[in-house]
Amino acid sequence: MTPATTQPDMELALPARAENIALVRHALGALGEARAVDEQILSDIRLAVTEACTNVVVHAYPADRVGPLEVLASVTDDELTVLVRDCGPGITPRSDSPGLGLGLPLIASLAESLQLGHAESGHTEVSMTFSLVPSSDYVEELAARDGESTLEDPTPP
Amino acid sequence: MQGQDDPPTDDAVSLRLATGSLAGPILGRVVSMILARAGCPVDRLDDAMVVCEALSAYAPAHAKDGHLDYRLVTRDGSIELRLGELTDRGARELVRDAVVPGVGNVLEQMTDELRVVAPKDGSSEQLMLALSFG
Repeated sequence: MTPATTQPDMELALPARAENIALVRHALGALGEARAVDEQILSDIRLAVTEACTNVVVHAYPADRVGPLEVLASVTDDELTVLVRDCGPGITPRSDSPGLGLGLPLIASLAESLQLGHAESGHTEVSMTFSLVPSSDYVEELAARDGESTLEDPTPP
Repeated sequence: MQGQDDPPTDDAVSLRLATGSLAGPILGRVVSMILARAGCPVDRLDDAMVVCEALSAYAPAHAKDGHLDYRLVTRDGSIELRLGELTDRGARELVRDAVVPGVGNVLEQMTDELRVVAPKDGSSEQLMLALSFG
């Protein structure tokens, strides 16, 4: 995968355990605090990153081993790139997978772009890019919802 | 990530933050989550947040390469936080800086242990802080 040219804003490395996924989600919430990112966009980012981290916890390492989970985030004014990586053998089909196999398609639908690959260091990487600017469709949808709520909220006589 | 002279700890969390507007909120969130999970009482959690605020405010001035490395370990009712990649004498100066008018030195008052660590490998000095809550 192409190495990042600039230093990430955050690099979080922790054991690939289920309880640490909540920690990653909570850390990403800082985007809302520091950059006033729209709540729906933040929710999509959290969901996609949760899926990527869950894949690491469930699939990256043998059941008797806890390996590292690394999450790197780089933010610009209008874009967030999150790289989730592990030291497992890579993304391969599993006939005994405990999941439904919907994780990566879900990430692909939530992110602007998705890249899967291996770093030169041997890490397995999932790179996701998210727009931090609400799309015009989303803005129109919000406006339509506001209109509906006004209609459904008649003034009492 | 951070060059440490201690043996790796399974439960350690490493956090490298570029100095900027995201650093403070992320540090606070990560520390609060770790402490909440460890059963830290709310008054001590509040103290830890004050320490995080102080580090976020004063540490960037002593960051060596535009980023700060935190290593967090909880054990036996305490959390140990190591802050690294500081400039020469940066750890001492950071402690000296963390004085709030009318309150005093926040880092000295809120922590149970505070010391400057010079890694054996000759890399940049680190600031080690420990807060107990057990």
